[in-house]
Amino acid sequence: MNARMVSLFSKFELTVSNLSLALLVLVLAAQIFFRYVLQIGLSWSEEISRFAFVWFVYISASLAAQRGTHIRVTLFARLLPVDNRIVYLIADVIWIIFNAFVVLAGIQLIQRTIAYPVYSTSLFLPLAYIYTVIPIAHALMIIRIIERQWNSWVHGVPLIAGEGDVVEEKLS
Amino acid sequence: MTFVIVFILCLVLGVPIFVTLGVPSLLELLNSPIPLASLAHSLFDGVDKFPLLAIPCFVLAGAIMSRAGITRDIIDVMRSVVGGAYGGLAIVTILSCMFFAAISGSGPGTVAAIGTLLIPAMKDDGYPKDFAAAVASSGGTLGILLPPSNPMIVYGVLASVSIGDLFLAGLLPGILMGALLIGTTYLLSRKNGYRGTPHTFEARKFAASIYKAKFSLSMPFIVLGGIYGGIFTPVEASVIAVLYALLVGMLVKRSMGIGDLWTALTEASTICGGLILIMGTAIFFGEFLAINLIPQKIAKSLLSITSDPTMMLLLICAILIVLGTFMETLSTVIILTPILLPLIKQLGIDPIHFGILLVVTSEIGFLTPPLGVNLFVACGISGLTIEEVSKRVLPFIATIIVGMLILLYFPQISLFLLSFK
Repeated sequence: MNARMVSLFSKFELTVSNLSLALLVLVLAAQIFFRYVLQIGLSWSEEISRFAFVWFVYISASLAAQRGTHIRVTLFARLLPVDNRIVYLIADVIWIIFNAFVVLAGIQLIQRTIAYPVYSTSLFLPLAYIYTVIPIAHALMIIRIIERQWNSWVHGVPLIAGEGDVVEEKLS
Repeated sequence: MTFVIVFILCLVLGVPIFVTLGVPSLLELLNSPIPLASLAHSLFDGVDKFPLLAIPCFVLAGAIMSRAGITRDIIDVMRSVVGGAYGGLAIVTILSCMFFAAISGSGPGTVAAIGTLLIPAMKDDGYPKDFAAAVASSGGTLGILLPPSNPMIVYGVLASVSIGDLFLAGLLPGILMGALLIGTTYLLSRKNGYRGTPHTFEARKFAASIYKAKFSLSMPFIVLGGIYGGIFTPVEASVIAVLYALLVGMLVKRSMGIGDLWTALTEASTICGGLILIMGTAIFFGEFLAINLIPQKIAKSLLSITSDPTMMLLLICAILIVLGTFMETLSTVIILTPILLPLIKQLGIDPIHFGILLVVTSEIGFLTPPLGVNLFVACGISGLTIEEVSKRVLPFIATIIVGMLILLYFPQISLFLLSFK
């Protein structure tokens, strides 16, 4: 991959999750406008905004993996008498294995919904396409976990954002 | 048994919470005839819940409010009211947190918005920096008690309780808690002689600041009024909050551009990224909890200690305070709701009353190290260490515990407004 591709890929999750959030706000704004101003109820707006939300949630989760802002209990890891980085490495290996199972489960779910099509209730969208976010986001997350581990061992970037000084991004 | 051991092992190793919930459930799934595909289906379904959409929208609204200058307007008005009293600027901080909390649903988000402006201002006014940081951290805890509130949305979804009802129930407890925190701030300032630059209250200045801030000040009334009046659902209100903040920032005050909107979106994505997906594995986890009869087992051992509803709530609150020192708020609510709710219902405790207590104890978790997120944010702003701020925050923790006990013994405070529905 050339430098341009690398830079585009590094912003991929951020771009997709920001755009899905913007989309869900826009669709709901349209719903409110139609209901209260034009007195017309939209049948499709809730469904589109819900699907945009699911995409937002899982793609932004990969962004959080990239930035090291996933919520974890770090107290015990810091109390253990071994290098923190080794504990977090074990934790992240468990995470990667779990995600690999989710990717597999996602692919099976999509295969099934292609074989026996299921459609969404108001727009009749084939759910197989909407479900793709599950394997895609969990596979991306695996790449970001490895990327973060690499940066931690090779470049000394703290694995968990703000660990060691202050946590700047762990807002709930 | 392996279910519990695997769960605790993952938790202790620092595996992200959503995976910690997922791994023991996945092991059970692999040992059952249920197809693996149902894991992916559960993750999708757990998040595909309409009321949850309000969470990123309220976070986004908060991010836009600070960039649009709405937060600064609110602070200016509060300042012209109580600026000259003992602890004036510190009380202004709590009041501004209350106002901000009435539009935002997050504790640390409130500290970030208000603290960024008021911690430096308090320092310039002669307040010790550690006290300033402690006041902002404590005021920020109101972010989740005064509606809207992210933990209430999550609790409402998991406990099948109306989120609108929870928002109504949180209003009086939030005002009570705000008043208690202001009282503590005043007493501490009086004892230590924190006063800042004295200036007298001027009606004209007050009126001018209100007029200047008219659009910003009407925001909580539109958002909460819309929900309480039954005009908007909580999700619609969250979108109205985003649109209103954008309108004020881009068209009225012209303080925001498209670039600022993108940074606000980025802030919301980063904050929500590590959080909301916990709901995905939580539902999955809840199902296997139920299959393993774990809520019943925990209920049985708690019931062997006491079967009195009030004593039980005290016991649960004590456990929650301990858990809150090292667990993140929203994950605590997500994990404990399915475990404790059957017991609560069995004892005849109103699930709404319980939800409010759950949120109040979470407030304490924001302030207690090692994991006190509000402290982290205030330390980031002030440049102090956790140790320095956590000592000054102790009287405020005591205040919130007093408030919690009042709410625990008088469920009417939470349930009173619901009787008018």
